[in-house]
Amino acid sequence: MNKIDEFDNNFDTDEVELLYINDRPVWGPDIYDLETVVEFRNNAIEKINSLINGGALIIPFAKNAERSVLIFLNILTGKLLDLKYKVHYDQFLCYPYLNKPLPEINIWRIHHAPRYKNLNIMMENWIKPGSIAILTGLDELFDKDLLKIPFNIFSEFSIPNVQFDQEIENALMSVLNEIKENNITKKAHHVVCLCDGWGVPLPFDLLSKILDQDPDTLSPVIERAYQKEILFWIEPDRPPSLLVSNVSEAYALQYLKFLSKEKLISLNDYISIFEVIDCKIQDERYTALKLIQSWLVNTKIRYSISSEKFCITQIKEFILKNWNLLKKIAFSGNSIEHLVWSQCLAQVNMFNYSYEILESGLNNDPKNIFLNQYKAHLLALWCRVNPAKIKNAHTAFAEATNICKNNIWLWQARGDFEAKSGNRMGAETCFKKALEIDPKNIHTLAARADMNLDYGLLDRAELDLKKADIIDSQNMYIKHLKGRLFFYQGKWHDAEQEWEKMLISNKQHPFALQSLGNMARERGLWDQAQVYLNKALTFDPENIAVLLEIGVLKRKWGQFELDMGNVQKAKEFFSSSFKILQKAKMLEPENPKVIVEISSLDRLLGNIETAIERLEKILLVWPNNIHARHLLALCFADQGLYIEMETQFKKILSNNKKNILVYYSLARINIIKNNISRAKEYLRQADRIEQSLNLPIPKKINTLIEKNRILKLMNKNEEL
Amino acid sequence: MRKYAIKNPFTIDDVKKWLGCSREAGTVVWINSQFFQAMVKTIQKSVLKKEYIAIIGTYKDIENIAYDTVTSVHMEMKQKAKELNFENIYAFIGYVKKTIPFRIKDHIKKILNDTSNTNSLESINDDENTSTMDIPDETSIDKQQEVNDIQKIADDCLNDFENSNQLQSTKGLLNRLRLLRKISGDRGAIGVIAFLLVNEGLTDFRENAKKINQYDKDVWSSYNRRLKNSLGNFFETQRGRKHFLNLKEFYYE
Repeated sequence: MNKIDEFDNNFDTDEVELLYINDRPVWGPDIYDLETVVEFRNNAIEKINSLINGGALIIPFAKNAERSVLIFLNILTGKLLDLKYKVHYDQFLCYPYLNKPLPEINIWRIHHAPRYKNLNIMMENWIKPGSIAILTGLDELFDKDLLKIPFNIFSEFSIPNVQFDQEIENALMSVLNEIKENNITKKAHHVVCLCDGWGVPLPFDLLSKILDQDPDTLSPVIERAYQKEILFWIEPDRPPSLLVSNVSEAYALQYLKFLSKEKLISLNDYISIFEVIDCKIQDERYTALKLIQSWLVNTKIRYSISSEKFCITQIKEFILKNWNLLKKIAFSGNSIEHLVWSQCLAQVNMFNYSYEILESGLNNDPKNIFLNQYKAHLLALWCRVNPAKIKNAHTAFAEATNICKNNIWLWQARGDFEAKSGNRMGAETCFKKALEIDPKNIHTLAARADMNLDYGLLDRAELDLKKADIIDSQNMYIKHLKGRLFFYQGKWHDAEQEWEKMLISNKQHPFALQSLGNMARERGLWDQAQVYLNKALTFDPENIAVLLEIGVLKRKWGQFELDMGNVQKAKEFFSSSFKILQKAKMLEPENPKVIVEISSLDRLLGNIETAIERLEKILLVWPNNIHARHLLALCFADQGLYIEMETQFKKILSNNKKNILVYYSLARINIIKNNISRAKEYLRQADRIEQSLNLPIPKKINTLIEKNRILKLMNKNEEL
Repeated sequence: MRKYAIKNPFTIDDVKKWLGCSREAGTVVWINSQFFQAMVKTIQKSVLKKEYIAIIGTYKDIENIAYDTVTSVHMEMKQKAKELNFENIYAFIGYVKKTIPFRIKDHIKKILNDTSNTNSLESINDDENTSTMDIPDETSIDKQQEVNDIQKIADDCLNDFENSNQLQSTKGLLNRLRLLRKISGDRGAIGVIAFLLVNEGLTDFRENAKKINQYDKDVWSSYNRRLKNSLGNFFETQRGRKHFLNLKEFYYE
């Protein structure tokens, strides 16, 4: 026996066992020594203790640090148990959803938290003084800013290590070399990687069905692969399962990246998996739901292995194509499965399908608070593309707030919805209710400030932001809204400072990047705007607001170049704007903002009839969309159809007599028609309105620019 | 070729340097060598064997307690470094291995004291030497009648399991269960359940299978895993749950 063997014999475990942490193999370096981990543990306990009103300790981690973070988490949990906390562990390997823990639990530990679609709704209903959630997740997936509960961040594990990629690559090459002659192992390895790359180990029986192999024949093959550290068994007790995985999710993902160098990964690769899923088998139902959830949250990964062939549009098509099967899977599950399926379908804008599943869940479980709450949230989302649902959303919110009278987040969401539906007074009442429950709730103050900024009530917004700033000056929502307030007040430098501060804490903050881009565009700093917005798009390629903002930027930049006489450059910008808006349309085909923006571009490119057709269609659904109607009126004017134009303008003014842009447009048309005195009358009316309104500075500047253009045109005509 | 570099040996000099306050040497001893993890796994295994039925439900707590205990032992050794003088690494490993079971016993006693699963705590307290835990056999149960009773309950459970849908549809697993029952010897039906749940009596079962020429390493292990999963799923059914509760109740009596 040599020295190493003797040494090994002093341990009671073998190497394969040591790869396992919390039931699955997690391969990676241990990045800290034990004494440092103990220091971290004590710091984390301090942070937990500081969340006296309840909240979350967020632990984002880089992919190389997953092993270390799990060891740390276990040490921390052991200490918390020692300190008499009651801890609940979520079984991240098996369940595709979060289920509320028992009432005595005061610490809820959730690994890979961002993967759960029902994370927010669970947290909002569970967090109260004395309850703390410990949430871990890959740094790039953790949209911390969308979490509304109070939280502290523990960022010691979020430092990436490039060297680790090379180590995985070496391990991968070694495995591929070893299995190249063994067809079944090779196929099994391929299928397991396809799923484990998304954090979804495959149930053994499902794997045998996918490979069309008798389980009795396949299991010894997997066992041999296990002994050789090629594939790994996972055997969780709750619920009892037998799954097959790779040595780590990072490894499986590396394999997908490796494959994509030859052929991009697309949803076609997953059809054979879904085709054999039996909706009566819980494990298999869960696999389907886990895969779809993970696809939806991992936008960056999807783009890295498939370019544009694995975007939300394709996921939607995939769901539609397999709807009969997926519907059965969703309907066979429990109430929470219904909830999560509904949430996934809403994310791909399949609102009617999402609603159908939710209703089925409510039929089986009418008093379920989560389903009732989500019904209101879902209808509020649906209203963005279908105004006919506004009434239903009102009713759903009323019912949900009646069932959950003291849910602050629900009152706040209802307030947001009322504000967006144009019912400011209703929104005020809801925010008041929420603040009666917790007067210091920073998110409600932020939501009310946001509404007041939208309505141009800057003084009121400022008041709430000051209150919120006293409670937590580091809160990202508040920083963002403070920036917006400065922007509306014309304090460009102060706004820029606030948003840049947000980027120091989170360099990929979508709100900050988008706002900086928007402000730069409004100021005519085209290049700067482009840099910010492109950065935002790199971090989140499917962010519809950013895509729209880039579309507008390119159109306006093109218009500017056209005014300067650079026709060729202008054409290039218009074409680039069109391309980006088409992508936005693919993602959200019914989004009225996208359609209006495309129509605006069509008008500039001379495709007036196409623009009119689009706008008339959208106005059938959204009769009160001022932007669409204004643009339609301008299109009619371009075609010399002045009566139709006036009809549209009158419709706008019948809803809002103080719409300055309508008066400017009417003035412009009258100048073209050489009716100068009438044009002057419209300009005077616009002036009167402008003086009576307290417009935000950027809007004021835009109206001044428009007025200046009209006056120039008028002078030109008078000279002629 | 080694795919995943994991266990690296350490020397007594590394241990001495660590006790002499070198964090780098501490990393070599506890982290790079996987000594920390190996100790945690050792504790898990020993506790799991003892509590193979009672532990279900508190298993995760035990795992985390094990992590915290090994961390505490590590810190305490560092604090009393002057008193510790190890001749070789076996002395060091032996010290840690000997210290931890006693520590974890106190730890679990303290922590599980408030939980509903106090029976689990009692059975750990009853046994002084936690590092060599075994399932209870005739010597640890007073009356032969009780042994017969638990075997009867376990037998009924396995009969029902054998006739369940999930097993009847899988020929390989059905035959495997029959084989295990055949070769269980004195361990009987309860021994088969303990073997499937926590690998208790692994060597005996394996050797008995070899004797009748029924042992192929890959088939043996993978079928047992699948059978364990099937049994777990059977315990989740209405009928299986009844058997599980009977076994658990009897175990505590």
